[in-house]
Amino acid sequence: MKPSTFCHRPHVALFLVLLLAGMFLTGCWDRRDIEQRSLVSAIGIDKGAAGDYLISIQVPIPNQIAGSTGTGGGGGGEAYRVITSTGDTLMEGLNNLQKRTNQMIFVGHTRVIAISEEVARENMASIIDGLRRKSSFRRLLWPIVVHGEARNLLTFSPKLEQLPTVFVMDQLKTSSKLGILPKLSLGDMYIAMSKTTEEPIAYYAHVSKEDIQLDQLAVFRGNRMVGHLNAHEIIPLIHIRNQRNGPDVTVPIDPEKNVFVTFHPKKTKTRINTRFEEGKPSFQIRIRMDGSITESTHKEIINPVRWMNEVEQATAAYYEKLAKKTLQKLQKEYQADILRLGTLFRGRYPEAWKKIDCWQTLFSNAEIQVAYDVRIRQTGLEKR
Amino acid sequence: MAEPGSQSNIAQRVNVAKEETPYVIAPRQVTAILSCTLIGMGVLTLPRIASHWAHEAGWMSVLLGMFMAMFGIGLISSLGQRFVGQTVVSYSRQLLGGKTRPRLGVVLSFPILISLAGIWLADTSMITRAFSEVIMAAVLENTPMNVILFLMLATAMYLAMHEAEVIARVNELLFPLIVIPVLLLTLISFQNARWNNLLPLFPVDWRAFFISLLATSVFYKGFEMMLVFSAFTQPISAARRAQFVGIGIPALLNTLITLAAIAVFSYEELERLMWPTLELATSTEIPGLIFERVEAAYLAVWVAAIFTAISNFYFATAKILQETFRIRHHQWIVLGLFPLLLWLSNLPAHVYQVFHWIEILGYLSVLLWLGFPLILWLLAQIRLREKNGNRRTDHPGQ
Repeated sequence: MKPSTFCHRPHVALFLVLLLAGMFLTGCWDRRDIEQRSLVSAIGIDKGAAGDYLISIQVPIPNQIAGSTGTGGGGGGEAYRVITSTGDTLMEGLNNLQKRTNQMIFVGHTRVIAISEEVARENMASIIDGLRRKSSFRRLLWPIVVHGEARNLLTFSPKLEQLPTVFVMDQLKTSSKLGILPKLSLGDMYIAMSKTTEEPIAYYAHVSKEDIQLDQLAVFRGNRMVGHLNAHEIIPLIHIRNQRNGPDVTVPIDPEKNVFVTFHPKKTKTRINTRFEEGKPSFQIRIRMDGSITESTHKEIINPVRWMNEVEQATAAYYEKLAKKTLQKLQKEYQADILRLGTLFRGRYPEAWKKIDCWQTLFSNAEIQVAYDVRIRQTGLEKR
Repeated sequence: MAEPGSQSNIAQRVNVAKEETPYVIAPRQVTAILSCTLIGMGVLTLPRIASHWAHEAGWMSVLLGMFMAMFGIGLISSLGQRFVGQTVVSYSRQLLGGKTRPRLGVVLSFPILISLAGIWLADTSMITRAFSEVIMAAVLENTPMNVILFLMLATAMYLAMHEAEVIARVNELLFPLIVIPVLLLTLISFQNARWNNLLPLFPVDWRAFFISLLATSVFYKGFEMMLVFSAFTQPISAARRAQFVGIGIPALLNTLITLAAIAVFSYEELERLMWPTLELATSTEIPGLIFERVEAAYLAVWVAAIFTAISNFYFATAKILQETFRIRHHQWIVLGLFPLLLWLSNLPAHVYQVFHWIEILGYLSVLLWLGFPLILWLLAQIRLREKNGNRRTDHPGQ
C-alpha cells in the first residue's frame, strides 16, 4: 500500500498512530477478571411473606470444587453457597443480593432457573421481563417450576455431583436425549408466551433433601401456571408436540396374570390432519411407532408372530388410553393448547383464525382423535 | 499500480483517454464493496421489520425488495458505463447543463449532490450509532457510548483517507470473512426451526405486503455509492454483471436470515426482540461444545461488516464533496467531517429515536436512488438520441 503524499507529513502520521493506539483501550470499562466475579449457577424465586419475592442465588466456590476429593456432606456444603434476599421484582432482588456479596454478580453462567409453584401460579410476567432485558441471561436456561420452595432446588445435595445445578443440568440433558422429557429452554417459554397459538410449559420438580424427581411438566396458560402433567401423561405429549420417541412403556397385557411387556420406541412418525367444520376444528393425529421389546414377563410359549401382533395392539391401545387421558386434562381441565395444534391450525386455515377471538375455548371443544400404529421390529436376544 | 497523486483529481479530467485514467477496481472488488456495505446495513433488525407487516411472509418481501435494488443498480451501472471514469459529479453536471451552458449544470446539480452527500453522512453516523447501541446492550455495558463511536469512526476515517484502490482491496479481503461465517451461522440456526411458523404462506393482503416491501427495500440502500465508485471501476461487461451479483449475495443472505428468524422464533416473538439476529445467534448451539457461545464470533464478524459499510459511505461522501468543491486531497474533508459525524451520532436520545431516524433516512434515500439516477439516465438517453440524430443528418447516406 503506497501512502499518499498527504500521509507523508510526520505529525499527521503520529496523530493517526495515536488514534489507532486508542483502539486497544476498548473494553477497559468492562474488563473484569474472573476472580472478581461472583458466578451464579442457579437462581431461585420464591414468594416472600410480605408479598414480594425472595430471590436466591447459588454461587459456586471454585477452590472447593477444584481441590476437594470427598463428598461435601450435608446441604449448603462446601462447594457452593446459597444467598437469599428480598425484592419487589427480580432485578431489585438481584441488586439487594449484590449488596451482600463481595464481587460483582455475573449471571452469564446461570443454567437453571427455579421458580416456586406459588410464584408460577400467580403471575410470571414481571419475572420474565427482567430475564428478557438483561443480555447476560441466556435463552438456553432450563426453567423449572418447583413444588414447594424453589430454594430447595438450590440447596439439595445429590452426592453424585458437587453442585446441585450441574446434577440438574445433566439430568435434563440426559432426559431430553432419552426422550423422557421434551427439550425445553427458557427461549421456548418466551416464544410460547408471545405466540397466540400455543401455551408454554416448564419442567416440574419435586425436591427433597437428597433427591429430585424431575419427570413432570407444568402447564401454563399465558403467564400463569394452571396445573401439571404427570409422567405418564407426558408420553403422548412428546409424540404429538415434539414428534420424538418418548420413554419406554411397560404395557400391562394381562395384569391379573402379571404379564407385562416393555416396549422401547425407536422411530416415531406423527401425522396431524386438521379440518374446520361448522365452526369447530377437528384434528386427526396418526402416530406410527416402530420399536423393540426389551422385556416380556409372559410364561407360556406361544406363536411368536401372533404374540407380537397381540403386543402391538395392546401397546397401541395403551398409548391411546394415555393420549385420551392427557387430552381430557388439557382440553377440559386446563384449556391450554400445549400441543402446538393451534399453530398448525393457523397455518392451514388463516382466514378462520382471523375470525376467532379465543383459541382456548375452541381448543377445548375441538375434536381430537389420536390413533396409534405400533410395529415391533426387534425382540432382543431371546427367541421366544 | 496507480501513482500517488493521480487519482485525486478525476473531476478535472473529464474527457480523458482510457489508458490515462487508472481503473483500479476489478469486478470482483465491486461485488465485495456492494456486498460488504449491504450486509452491514440492516442485518440486525431486518427480520423484525420484515415480519412486522408481512407476518409469516416476511422473507418473501425481503427477497422481492431485491428487485427494486436491482433496478436501481441497473440504472447506475449503465450511467457508469456511459460516462467512463467519471463520478456522478462530473456527469450530472454534463447531463443537467448540456454543452452550451455548463454553468447551469453546476448550479442544478449542486443541491442534489449536496443532499446525496448529506444523506450518506447521516447514514454513516446512524449506522455507527446503531452499532454502538447493540454493543452496549449486548457486550460492553459500562463503556461510554462516545468511546465506541469515536473508535469506530476513527478506524473508518483512517481507511477513508486512502485511495479507492485500498478501499476496494480491504473490502475484497473482508468479503469472505463476513459472508462465510454469517452464512454458516444462519444455516446452523435452522436446527431450531419449526416450519409451522412459516405457514400460512400468504397471511396478509396485498396492501400490507406492499408496505412491507417498501420497508425492506430500505435495507438495500448503500448501493448508490456506485455512483462514485464507478469512476474507478474497469469499464468491462464483467463489472456490470458483478454489480448485480453484489446485490444478489446480500439479498440471499438477508432472505436466509429472515427465514431462519421467522422459523425459529415466529413473527409474534420477533416483535418483542430488539435485535433478532443477535438473539438467533444466542439460541444456536453448535453440538460438540467446540464453540458454545456462537454469538461472540458472530459479533466479531458483524463488527467487520459495519466497519466496511461505514468506511465506504465515508469515502463516498468525501469524494463527492472533494469533486464538487475542487479540493486537492479528499483526506482533508475526511478529517473535517469527523467531528460532524461524531456530533450526528450523538444526536438521537435513545435507541427508538435511532430506529426512527434510520427509517426516515431510508425513505429519503429510496427517493434519491429511484429519482435521481432515473432522471439522469433519461437525460442521458435523450442526449444520446440527440447525438445520434445529429450524426444521421450529417451522413444522409447511412
